[in-house]
Amino acid sequence: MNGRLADEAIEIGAVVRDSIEAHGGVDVLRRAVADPTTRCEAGALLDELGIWELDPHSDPVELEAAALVCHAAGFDALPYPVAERLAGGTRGPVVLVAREGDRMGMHLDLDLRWRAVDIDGRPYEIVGTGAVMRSPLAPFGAVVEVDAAEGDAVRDAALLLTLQSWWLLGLLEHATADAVEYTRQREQFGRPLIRFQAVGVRLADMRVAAQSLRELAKYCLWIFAWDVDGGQALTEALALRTASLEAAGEVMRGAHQLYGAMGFTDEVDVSWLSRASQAVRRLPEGEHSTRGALVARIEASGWAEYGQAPNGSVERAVPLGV
Amino acid sequence: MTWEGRVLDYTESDSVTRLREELRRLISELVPADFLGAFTDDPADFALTEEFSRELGRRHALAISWPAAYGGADADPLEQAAVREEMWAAHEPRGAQYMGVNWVGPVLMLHGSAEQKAAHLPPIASGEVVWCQGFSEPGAGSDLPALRTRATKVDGGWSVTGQKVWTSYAGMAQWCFLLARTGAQDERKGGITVFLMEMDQPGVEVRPIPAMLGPHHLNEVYMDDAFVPDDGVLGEVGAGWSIISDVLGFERIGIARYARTEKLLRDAPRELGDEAWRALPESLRERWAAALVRARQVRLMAYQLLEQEAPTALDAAAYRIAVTVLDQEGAEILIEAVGAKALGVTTGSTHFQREIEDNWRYSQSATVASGTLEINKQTIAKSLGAL
Repeated sequence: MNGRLADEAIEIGAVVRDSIEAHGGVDVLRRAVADPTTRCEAGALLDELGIWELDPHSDPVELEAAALVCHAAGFDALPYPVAERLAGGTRGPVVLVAREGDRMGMHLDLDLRWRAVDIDGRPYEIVGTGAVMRSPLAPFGAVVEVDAAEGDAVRDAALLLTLQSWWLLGLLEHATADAVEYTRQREQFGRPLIRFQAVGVRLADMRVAAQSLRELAKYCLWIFAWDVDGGQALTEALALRTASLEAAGEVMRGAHQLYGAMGFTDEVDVSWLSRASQAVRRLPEGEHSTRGALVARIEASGWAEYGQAPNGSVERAVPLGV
Repeated sequence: MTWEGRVLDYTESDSVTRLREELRRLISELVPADFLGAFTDDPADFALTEEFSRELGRRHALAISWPAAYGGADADPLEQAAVREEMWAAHEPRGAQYMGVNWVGPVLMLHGSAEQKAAHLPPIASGEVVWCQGFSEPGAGSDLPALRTRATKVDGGWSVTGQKVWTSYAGMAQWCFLLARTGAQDERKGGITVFLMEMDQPGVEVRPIPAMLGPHHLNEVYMDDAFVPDDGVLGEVGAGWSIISDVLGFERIGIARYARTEKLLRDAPRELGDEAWRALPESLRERWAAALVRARQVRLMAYQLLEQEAPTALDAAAYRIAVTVLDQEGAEILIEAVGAKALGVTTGSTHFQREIEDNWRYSQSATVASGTLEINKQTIAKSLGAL
């Protein structure tokens, strides 16, 4: 067993994180909400670092690097479809859309060759996109119309769901770290908030939620690397999404509570992280619907034993190289 | 170039897979299908676990990761984890071996004299002895340094007087890993000594405490001039607290609760039958799926601890919180799914119904035993800066 991400991948993630921080961190999001055209700068920033050359479908270190790039982007809620571009690989970015009913996607106004897929792995062709809404919870969201397309996109769906969870994990770790720091600094009744037991317990719950999510997120990368047809990887990715939505509820509710009124203001990052998390948490489908999809897959195909690679460990989908 | 060994790899090793197969075969051969653990009113259940433990001992599989010199097989921590998981999933046919194998032995390896190691380690590894833990007292639960049981120096050893409580397996144990005060009460952690005390002696009385967990789990232990010879002192007199820190370190992984939870959750659809399963509310089946996912997360957290040479207190506490909460959430979902048939178990009930009932009762103690949920959360808070 090796539960440690590759050093090369960790290094790439750290470089991306530093670069985003150097450009202002969450301020990149603040600027993009005021002027959505500035999102191109976020894409260019990653382009300069060669991130779009990563191919998570063909190289295991680049798969891990892609996850950590998404984590770094999520840490500051970078307003750019990072997971979508990386998951799509050379065939163009892929957006998750609802299986039925109203469909909305983020960043679809950016000039990219978009494809669409749902959480069952069915592909769609995009036939129409509305104007960017600029709403508080989906500033870069747009209504999207799709037609069913031929073939299957199961591995695309599995990878995108996995990378989106890495994005959300980054965001949740940022919110937790900020809440820890705030409660260390802020004093009431003559002592830091973190010294109050109820506050410490809340922080502990947030920390446990994020930590348990991280371990599963790593495991899903390994499954994806092994699963040639993607069926098991998609089940595991839906499991990861289920866990990440649960963790997001715990962490973001806790962060808001511990920040008090300050946490709602535009001044603090938590307020922006909270809003930015919404699109990933509600789109393409929310917690109840995601769990329902997971139940259906487990009931139909089972829940794989831990540590058993798909395909009987015969062939990796993402080869180790020679 | 190849990335072999440098990228994430969760493939279960062949040795672990073979070990699981061997253990499952052994269980199917030696353990009756309706077995629900050693802690029942039927003495045959405990007797079965004694024999099963000796069989594991003969195969060097009980303390499999211990050095061969002490009766182990020098196996890696993941193999020891596999033993824990397979046993717990099968209602622990090792019976009352948890203390000895999981932490008494490892702590003796660190702090015991050559004579103590030779005397105590091989019997633990061969499954011939049961240990209990003399820690909690009526006035010293989470606040363990408040303990008042006193050991007084006498000719050739120590006289121990006091009371322990909640002592699991005390009625089955031959030995007790006992904490007693040898210094002043206000020294707190400073005046505590660890004693290896024989249970079968006139000054020791065990009184079972009837409880919802079932018999044998909870006991009081009264010591009235019990005797421990000088060579029964572990480490230095008055320096017991540093040993306790190591005990807690070895207890970080503890019982592989996730293994039974996962097994029961997996079994549920088949055991209930397709029609009954699909008649369950969608919301309950969603909780069921989420709990399966949670069990995977908890297992990964356990393995992450095993991978670290020196896990942090924060990581260990995070795992303990996750695994104990999972245990209770899983138990809730399962008893909800089985419904009235789990409440009204009789000898005519199915094994699964009895498992779910037994599992629910025992799971209620998960967030209290071996460090409460609240203490673990405080450990995390302190690590984050709430000192």
